[in-house]
Amino acid sequence: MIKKSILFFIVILSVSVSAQRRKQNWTENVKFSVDPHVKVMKSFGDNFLNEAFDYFYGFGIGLNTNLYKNFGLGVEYTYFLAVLKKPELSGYLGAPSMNNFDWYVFHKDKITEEFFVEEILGYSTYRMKSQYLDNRGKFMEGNGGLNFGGKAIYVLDVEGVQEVVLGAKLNFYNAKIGNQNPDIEKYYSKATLLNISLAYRFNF
Amino acid sequence: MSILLTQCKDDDANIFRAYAEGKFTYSDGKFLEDPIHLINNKKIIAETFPKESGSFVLAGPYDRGAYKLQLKSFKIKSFSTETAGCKISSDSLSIEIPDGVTYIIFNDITLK
Repeated sequence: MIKKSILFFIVILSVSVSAQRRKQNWTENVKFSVDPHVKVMKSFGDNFLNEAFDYFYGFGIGLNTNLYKNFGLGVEYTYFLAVLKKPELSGYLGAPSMNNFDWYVFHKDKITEEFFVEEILGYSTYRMKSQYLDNRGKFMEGNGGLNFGGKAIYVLDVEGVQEVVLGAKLNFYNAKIGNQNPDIEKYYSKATLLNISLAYRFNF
Repeated sequence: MSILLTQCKDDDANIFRAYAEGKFTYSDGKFLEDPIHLINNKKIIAETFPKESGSFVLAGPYDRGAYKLQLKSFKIKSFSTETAGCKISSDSLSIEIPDGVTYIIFNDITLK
């Protein structure tokens, strides 16, 4: 079975390579997809994202392009909101909103005809915004960090246009909040967030 | 132009957290009903209510300058901390904390 499939693969490869020599170009295999999503994000451990706020919840949109073989690039934008849990730790501020971009490289594996998985590695940017409760103005802080995770993709139709995507990622959050006490500085600057997403994907 | 500049630099470590922790010695139970504040540049940056034990934790964002721990109506008689340079304001409603101090523990704050 394995031998047969290797032989088959070599035949296909040689055919496609010779075909490529004639006219094909790798860009013809480039595919795009767009996926609106909902996400829930939660921080764990001893940091203010966990203790001052409850979980973050949001919605957004992702764009993916399969560039070469099973590798591709993607970006997801999500608008998050969070509920205040311990306001005395976050300051005299309203509940925050967050603009988040995840930029990443992915690799796609085919499991069956209807089922795929993607492994993801990338970089995230976060911009948190809250209103000062006292008077005028907004408080903003911008941060970044690595992200990695995976997605499970289920194909909904025969043409492979519509898919449901369930994703899980770890997002590292690194801010630069200054304090004389290094523990307090770390408490306000570093967090690890678990991020669960559900998306509806269209391929075109 | 200055607005543009401040917007550009807010990613850097120009944001600090003022963090104050401590314990009040009080006699009137009404003290627990009023909020206590951290105030920087006339703006409230943090608010909390003291616990029954008199203890409190307050933290809020700011970018520079001195700030103060302020009470609404009860006056402060004395305080103790290892941080140098703090003093009670002339109206006795607040403790002034000097520029550069971002972390402060008050072992005790006694009310009048």
